[in-house]
Amino acid sequence: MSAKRLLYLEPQQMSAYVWQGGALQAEGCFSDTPDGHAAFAEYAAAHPTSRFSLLADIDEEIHTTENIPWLRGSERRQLIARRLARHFPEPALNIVTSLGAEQGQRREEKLLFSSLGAPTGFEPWLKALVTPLRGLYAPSQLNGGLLRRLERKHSCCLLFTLNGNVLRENWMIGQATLFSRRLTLSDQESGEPGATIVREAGQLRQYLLNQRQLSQDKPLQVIVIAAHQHLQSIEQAAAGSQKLVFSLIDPQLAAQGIKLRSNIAPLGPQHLYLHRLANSPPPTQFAPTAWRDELKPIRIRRGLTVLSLLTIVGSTLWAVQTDREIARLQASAQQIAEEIAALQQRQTLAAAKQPGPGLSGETLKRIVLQHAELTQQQGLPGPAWNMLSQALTQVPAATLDELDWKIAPPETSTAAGNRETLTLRGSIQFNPQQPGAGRLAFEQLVDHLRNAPSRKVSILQAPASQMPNDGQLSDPPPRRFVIEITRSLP
Amino acid sequence: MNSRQTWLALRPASLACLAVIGAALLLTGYEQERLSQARHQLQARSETRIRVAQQIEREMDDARHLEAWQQTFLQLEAGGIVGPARGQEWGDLLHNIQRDHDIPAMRYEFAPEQALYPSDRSGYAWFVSRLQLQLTIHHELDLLRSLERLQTHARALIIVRACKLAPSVSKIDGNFPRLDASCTVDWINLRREEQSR
Repeated sequence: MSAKRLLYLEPQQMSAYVWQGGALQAEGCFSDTPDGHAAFAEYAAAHPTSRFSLLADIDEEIHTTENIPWLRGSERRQLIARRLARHFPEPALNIVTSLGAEQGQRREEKLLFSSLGAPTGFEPWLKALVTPLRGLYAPSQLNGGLLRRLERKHSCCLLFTLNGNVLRENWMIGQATLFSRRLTLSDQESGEPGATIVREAGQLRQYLLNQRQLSQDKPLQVIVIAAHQHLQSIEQAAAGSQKLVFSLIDPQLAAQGIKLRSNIAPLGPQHLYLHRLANSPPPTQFAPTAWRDELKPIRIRRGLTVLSLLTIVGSTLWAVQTDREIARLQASAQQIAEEIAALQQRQTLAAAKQPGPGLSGETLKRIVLQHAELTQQQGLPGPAWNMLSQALTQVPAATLDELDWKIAPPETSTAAGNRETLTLRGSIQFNPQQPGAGRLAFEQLVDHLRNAPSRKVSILQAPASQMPNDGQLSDPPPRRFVIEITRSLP
Repeated sequence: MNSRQTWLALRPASLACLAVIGAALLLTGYEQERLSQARHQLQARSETRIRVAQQIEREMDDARHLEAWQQTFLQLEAGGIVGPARGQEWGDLLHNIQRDHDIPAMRYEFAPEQALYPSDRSGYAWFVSRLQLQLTIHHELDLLRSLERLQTHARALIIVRACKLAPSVSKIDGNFPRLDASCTVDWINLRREEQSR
């Protein structure tokens, strides 16, 4: 992965740092001269894949606030563009930061317009870069985050940073820097900066009182970040101040507090800013789109790389998962193949084990079925004769002349069972003393026969047809009858 | 940077990315094909297993039936039903019945044997010898016992087709009433068709 590189631009020089593994290392310092530009170009060319963030600590930084009507969308963008053009009519590096809503007679939005001046001062440096600029920032954008990281709570304060002989004065409300000025101290002032800082703080307080941004009776907190050797001078100068409450920060100790690792000694406030820039860059930056256009290919290339990696990882994971599934399916298929082989072996053994008298199964089956069919036809006249014998016992007047018993297979293949037929030829002995007794005896016989279950009784010849007058003869001949009894055998 | 320069700058990365995506698509397609083949193979083998198991079940069922049929066939063999017509043996049995049941008169005649079913060329066939039996008996029970004995002792499948019973017109022994019985009895045997006469 390419290293993150940080540039710190001052009016006379450019300092280069690398941020890697949470440590800030100095890599070079280049003067604002053609030679310095050439040396910087060599340095930038040596790091063609690095992304550079530029922190510009220059004199031209301007801030102004203005309220605009509460708008949204394109109307707001157009209004802000008009106000920006009015505040900074010349081509400049500008940003606009929203400070939130203000409720007066009507709801308004408070905007902070910031400018780093004309872009011409940056171009010699930017031309040397072979990779696009990640962003252009001002120290004022980092003030809020730095104080929060240093755990300095305030509602409003003055933040003074002393970097060599350069004193930067910031007026802050909350996290926003509303005013920032860079002041170069004389050699005498930079040797003993305490009096100068206290004086500047007093003048700034008076200015803010005049601007009605401060109340008269409220003491103003002043936070000073300066090298350790200056802290005593500042402390002594601030001792008599009534309305200013000074809070001093040693950059070396502050670096330890925010866990800034570096081989730079001594550390100054600019290194604390660079730490913030590396860890938490502001959401807005000053570089125009043209300076950052080159980012598109890099972002696209990075996106393509990520896409490729995701594709490789995804397809590999999918392939591995699929391979597992395939292996599982193949194992199941193999197990089934073994089961099939075992079944077929069992089948072969069963086939080899089949005994037989030399007849095929079909022949045996036919023989057995035909035997069963024939066996069903095996019947004897005994049951039918028994039934008949019982009936004749009940009717003594009836005598038996002939019995004809037959058993026959069904006439059609669909008919049920064999048919047993018993044809009974007999006669009724009539008594002349009892006219009608012969008819009654025959009817009793038929009734007894019909009482037998599952039998059908048909009268083929009834004795009545031969008996016109029972009482005319003293010894009438017996009257003959023929009855057929049928039954379906199971 | 214009769009052409942008494209030139991005071309290697784009081509590499396309190559990776193409390779990934090929890989996934190849793996998908293998997965599909594995599923089809498993499906086919599962169906084969079910088919073979069902076939074995059917064959075992057939084998059980076959065993039962074989048992029946062996019983037929033991009972003498399998084999040629035994005219002499059957005649002896009839004489024994006449003697044992004290039947006053007996006449019988076997008709030539005939195939009972049309031939199916399987080797074995049922043949029937029809017996016309005429008896003079004391009581109808003599006839029933005689027929029962035939069914249980004859080395053939005995089917009594018809029996006619009437008071006897002749009196061999004038002391007792007699009955004349006339029966048609099928003597059925199973044997190889080449044994038919």
